[in-house]
Amino acid sequence: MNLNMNENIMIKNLCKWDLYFNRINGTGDVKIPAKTSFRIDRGEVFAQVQSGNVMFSGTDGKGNHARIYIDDKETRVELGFEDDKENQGIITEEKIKTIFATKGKSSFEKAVKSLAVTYAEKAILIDYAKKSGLNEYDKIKFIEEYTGMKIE
Amino acid sequence: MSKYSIELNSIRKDDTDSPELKRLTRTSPIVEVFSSMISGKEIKTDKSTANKAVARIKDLAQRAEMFDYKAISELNTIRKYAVEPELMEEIKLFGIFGEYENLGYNESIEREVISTVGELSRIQAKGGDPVVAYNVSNKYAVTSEIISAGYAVDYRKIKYGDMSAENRLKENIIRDIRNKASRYIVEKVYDSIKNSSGIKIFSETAGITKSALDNALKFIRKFGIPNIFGDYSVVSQINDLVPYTTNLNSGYMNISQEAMEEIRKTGLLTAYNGSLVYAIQNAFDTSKLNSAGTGFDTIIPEGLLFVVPANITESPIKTWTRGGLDSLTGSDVSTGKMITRYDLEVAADVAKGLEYKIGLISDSNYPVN
Repeated sequence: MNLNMNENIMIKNLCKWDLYFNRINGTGDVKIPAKTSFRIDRGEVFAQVQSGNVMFSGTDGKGNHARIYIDDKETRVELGFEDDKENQGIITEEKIKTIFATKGKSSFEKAVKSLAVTYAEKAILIDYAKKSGLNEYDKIKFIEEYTGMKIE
Repeated sequence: MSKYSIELNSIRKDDTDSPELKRLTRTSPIVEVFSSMISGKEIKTDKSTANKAVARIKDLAQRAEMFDYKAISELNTIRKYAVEPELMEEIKLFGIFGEYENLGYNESIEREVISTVGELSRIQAKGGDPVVAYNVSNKYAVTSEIISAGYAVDYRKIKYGDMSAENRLKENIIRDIRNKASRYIVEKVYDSIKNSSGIKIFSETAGITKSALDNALKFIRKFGIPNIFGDYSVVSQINDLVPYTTNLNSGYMNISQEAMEEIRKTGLLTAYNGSLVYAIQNAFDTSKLNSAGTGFDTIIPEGLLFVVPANITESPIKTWTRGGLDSLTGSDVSTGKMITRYDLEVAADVAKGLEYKIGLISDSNYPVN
């Protein structure tokens, strides 16, 4: 596949706070405010991922538990973040929703632990629990203990 | 790292208030002689006093070797008096985090946050009713942690007047306790910012970026001129923010001579945009590999850069030590050695509800837990 590196693509900050990184292909830095999208050229995204910026490449270098989501399927596939069968392993509201609907205690705990690994993801989880009005004592207790943050 | 344990049955606490040790004070000549001996300095007291003191130290060591707890206790106290001032000098540097207070043994650690409520002043018609403000104080207890450093003392060496091991161990106690105390404070601050649900000045950067730091400074400066501190790995990145260019296309970067000289000599800028830049001393924990397996973990998380207002009446961060150094002696079950440990009680707190006064930038190149 031959991708146009000058084409602008959308990237999305999944975190509750602002993210910054220095440009590699140019000068200056980039600020992506909390939970917003940002248009940036594809070449820069490739440069960031290949130089190991964990915000893009996640905990394993393959995009899992990333803080910035690249909203462009072709780029994600080209970078090896996903293929036809599997999507990139990032935290989304739908995923949290499904997990909160889980009945069993152990399966719930397992699912939470595999979904929220980084501090950023834990904060998103807490945020969603607050917003959605999670009202189950066991689950709240476990999430608070696991993340170290309080649902207030 | 070898672990040691003191058998509970054998613990002896050194009671500095016992009648035998009451005579021994911080200013006793024997303390001065001991201190000079371990640091390899010239003994400044007169010769006869020095000889007496050295003979006494050797005698104590000989008795200590035979498990005479009174002798051990006296030696520990002498050592404590020699170590404590140096350690407290280092601990005082915690002032960089905010307020620091040293409490006596019998005081409890409490944080008082005073907030002013009501209206302070207003523009109004002449002769109108005045508005008033009043203080509401909120007091809560802060829990403390004990930091202990211990080692097996070689009394045989002291018996013969060889203080080389003592010197090394003294340095170790100071460094170790200081490191652990700063880690405790940094972690405490990080946690409370992390867990606060209100407004917080927190951002993540891949490498410290100018806009992230400037944004944090802009906000925090309203509360007071900020100090910037963190590990050298993050603090030194501020160096890269000073060069400027007059022509974006040329690629030439300029830097002021003064800034360049500072970086050349110390590796750090002393100030950035009016804020003091300070690198917290941070050592490797050689018993732990980093997550990539390419180096060691550091004692304080490497990727955290703090922006904290200084010189204000009410700093959000406050640290305490209580009661100075405390020592204990016991025998280690597995090796049969005499172990001496030193304890320091520290506490740190971020004023509840004032977490927004601390700016925190986390460099994602150095993951934190």
